[in-house]
Amino acid sequence: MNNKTLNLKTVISRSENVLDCIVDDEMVLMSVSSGDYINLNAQASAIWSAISDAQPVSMIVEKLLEKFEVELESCQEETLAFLRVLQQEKLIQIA
Amino acid sequence: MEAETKQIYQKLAQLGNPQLNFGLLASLDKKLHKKPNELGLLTLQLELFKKAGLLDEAFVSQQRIDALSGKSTSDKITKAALSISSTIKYFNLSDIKSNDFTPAPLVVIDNFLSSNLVPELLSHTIEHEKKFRMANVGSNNPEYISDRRLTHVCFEMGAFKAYFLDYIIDNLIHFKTLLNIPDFNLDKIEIKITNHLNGGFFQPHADNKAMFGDSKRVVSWLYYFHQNPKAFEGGELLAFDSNIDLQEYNAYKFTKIDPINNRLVVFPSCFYHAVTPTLLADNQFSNGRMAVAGHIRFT
Repeated sequence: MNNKTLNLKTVISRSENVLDCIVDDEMVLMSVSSGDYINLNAQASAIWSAISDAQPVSMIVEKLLEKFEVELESCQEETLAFLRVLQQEKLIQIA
Repeated sequence: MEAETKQIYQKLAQLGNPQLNFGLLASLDKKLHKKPNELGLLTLQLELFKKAGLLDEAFVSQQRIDALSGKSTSDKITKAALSISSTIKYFNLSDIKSNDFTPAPLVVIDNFLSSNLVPELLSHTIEHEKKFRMANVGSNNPEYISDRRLTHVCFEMGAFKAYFLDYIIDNLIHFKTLLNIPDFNLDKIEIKITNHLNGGFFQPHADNKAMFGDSKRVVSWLYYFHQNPKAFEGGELLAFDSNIDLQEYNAYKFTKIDPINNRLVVFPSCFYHAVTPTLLADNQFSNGRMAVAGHIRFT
């Protein structure tokens, strides 16, 4: 399921393959299968926090727009780009 | 310390950060609650315990993984461990992998010396402060390189020399078993006292290039001692997963051994290891991170 194309309507949730924690106000993810670490910036952390429950990408974008002063289009693009990285690392799952 | 060395330690400090490892362990606990016997999760938990320096937890976790994978500890290993100490912990008994990374085998013994000897060793060390000099690196052509190592060293050990040498010789056969080291003939044992003051460190390195390589060192060991209460931070030993054939280490996979007072740690010399920078606010010699350090040479 992880090779599905992501778009704003795609419903996503966190994969079972990931650990997360906050270190010095920064979110760090660790892939269970590879042991690789990913440090998240504030915006990426907000995206990660938003997907604790399964939901469409468009809803995550809405939440980000409430939190950050950013244009709708660039928010959509950046969110999808980051989610594709997480998808590649098998850190999210698509419903 | 030069920029490149600083960068290495920044990365290692981040990976060994207790906040990170405890946070990831808490996140992992939630998954283990649902799948308590999942080997992949338990193996990751063991790795995090080792990186966090939680050796008691790591030892229990390792035994659980062995039991779940049907790997039983051989009588030979159990006997060797019990011959040394009932509180011994040993890690990573696997064979050295060819052209791949192998976790560093380790033996750790806490409360090693009887309680009256630790203050005696501490007094001996402080009394001999003037005999300490900066340590060199390299066993064949030793030289002082400040960007690779900042360690004070002294070779005058008084009666403690015989005490440590006798102990190591008497127990060498058991250490060989627990560290999975093939049999060899003992040539001599190097021994010295070291002290890490403020900024003291030792870059990642191996004491030999192969199990029986040119430097002749086969077994390396360290015994930690210091003033109570402890005045320094850092100075931890990191024992890295190492590719012995390629002489490389994996910076992401290591066991952290805290320099706890009265702790002995023993490992094969060919595995990469490092000492993290020591922070000692008053930079007093008597408050340093002290160790008796040694190597066993083969002939």
